[in-house]
Amino acid sequence: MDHDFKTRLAAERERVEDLFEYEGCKVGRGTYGHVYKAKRKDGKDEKEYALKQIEGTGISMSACREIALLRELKHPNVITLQKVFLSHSDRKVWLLFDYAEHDLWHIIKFHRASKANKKPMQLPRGMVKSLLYQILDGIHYLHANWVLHRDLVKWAVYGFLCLCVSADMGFARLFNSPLKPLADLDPVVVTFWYRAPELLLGARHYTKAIDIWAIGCIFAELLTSEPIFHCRQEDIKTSNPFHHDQLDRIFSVMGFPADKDWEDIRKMPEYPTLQKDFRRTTYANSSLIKYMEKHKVKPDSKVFLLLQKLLTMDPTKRITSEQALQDPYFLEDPLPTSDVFAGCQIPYPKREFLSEDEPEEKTEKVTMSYRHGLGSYKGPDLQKFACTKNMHTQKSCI
Amino acid sequence: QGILIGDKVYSEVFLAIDSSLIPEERLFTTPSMLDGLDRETETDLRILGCELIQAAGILLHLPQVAMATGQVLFQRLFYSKSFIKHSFEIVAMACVNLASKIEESPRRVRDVINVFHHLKQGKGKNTPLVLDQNYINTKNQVIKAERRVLKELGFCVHVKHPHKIIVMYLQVLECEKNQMLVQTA
Repeated sequence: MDHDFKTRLAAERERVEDLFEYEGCKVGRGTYGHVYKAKRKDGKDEKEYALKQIEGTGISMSACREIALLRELKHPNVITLQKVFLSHSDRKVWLLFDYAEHDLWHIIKFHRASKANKKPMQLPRGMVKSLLYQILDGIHYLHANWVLHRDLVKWAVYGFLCLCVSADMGFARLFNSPLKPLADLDPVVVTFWYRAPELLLGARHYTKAIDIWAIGCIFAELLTSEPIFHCRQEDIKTSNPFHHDQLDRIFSVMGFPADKDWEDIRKMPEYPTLQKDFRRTTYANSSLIKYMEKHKVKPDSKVFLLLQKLLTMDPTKRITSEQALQDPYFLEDPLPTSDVFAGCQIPYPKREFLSEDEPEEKTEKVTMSYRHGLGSYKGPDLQKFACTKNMHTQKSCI
Repeated sequence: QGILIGDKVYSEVFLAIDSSLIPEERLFTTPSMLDGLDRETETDLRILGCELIQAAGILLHLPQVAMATGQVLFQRLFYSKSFIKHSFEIVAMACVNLASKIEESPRRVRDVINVFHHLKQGKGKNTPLVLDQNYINTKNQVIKAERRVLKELGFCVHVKHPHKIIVMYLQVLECEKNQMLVQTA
């Protein structure tokens, strides 16, 4: 290309720093890069945006796949990619999304913390219903378009809490490739708590049913303010899918599956280990009914019936997102609303800004602090930011 | 509709069959033809580019689907950019590089350049690529071309290949044993 053309192009090219004000507004950081809360400089609208700067220079495989996927998705409950900026001088890639003040992960953390501090705050039941409906709606859209990620196990947890599963396709790889140890990520996020039993028994393929299980776990947590399959943290770098303590926890809530309830359990790769390590009789007294009754959810309520269908051990019998959306629970008063916060106070704090170059050590402390329930949430991931975007704005739906 | 950024309105993406097919008028007067390239030369360049992508992919041990994707990207790009202004060789390298990422078997730019260098030498010769300023320039050009491809295609780079579907159709038609037909397809 000739020189004049190049200079003309460089002058015309829009640069992200000219268009958006984001300095000092960092709200998240992680292995994927940095996220800023941004406003446009020209004042054409007062909307808040989330700007994500992808770590590293050039277009990495994960960035490439993420962008390509986001370009094709369009649903009110799935994050919308507004624009991509390719910065020429430093070869950085910037993604522009809508901003969301609150996210599901944020909400769950808040309630966990309030419970830990002995000041339990229940989520309003209407809000739980609306949240669940929107999560299912988003997942159904993704499932209908066959967006799910094959061999990504760890990601399942992460993606779900973020609601915007799809957008995570790119990151998925990050967890699989041991470029950075998983412990670098939020230690609470990378847990086995939301993993479906078939994954713990060595299932190799990522299926829609696995997503549904995770939704069931989240639903239970929204109802009780505590992770249903809470389990001691183990070495998360382990490559073995079999996870004794986690399975033990699942069985002690749900009971050991009867042969007729899950016939194919015998075909699972880790079935021999299961037989060796577990006794059915240990869990004879456990059932989901008892667990939820302790949390004041009646076994004949529609809430419970839906939860039971989502948390079905046998993946082939587990309800699909489409069926779940038709569930009587959503037809019963209060009906789900498009604004999940409809008619309630929002007790959740707004996002805090991070300083530009926080030393590693401090990050550690932050992590610790919200684990101890101080509630200063520093979300490491953009998906979490954008996911609730429609909880407030979405007008049409339901 | 769309989003206003700076002075331009950027359209929202709507992917459907209509927007992934190139309209006929653009097929017949390509950007290269507008720049004065004749149809035969353009066709030759397209074929050559695709053959290079295929050969390079084999040498890089890429899965066949990556080469197919790369070729589609290459073809698509030259319906909105001209062969006169963009070196087909650099673009072909960029397409191999990009397709390797899309199909989840990433290759380094360096490997791609090496393979293209090898292909260019022809049979019998095998001088290694010298890492000089020339190499650095080529590498930068490839990286830039990759970004250009992405920008020009609006990051819509997931390609649905017909091959699997064709095999299925042939099975339905009970023709899967007819080797000639299968391979022609």
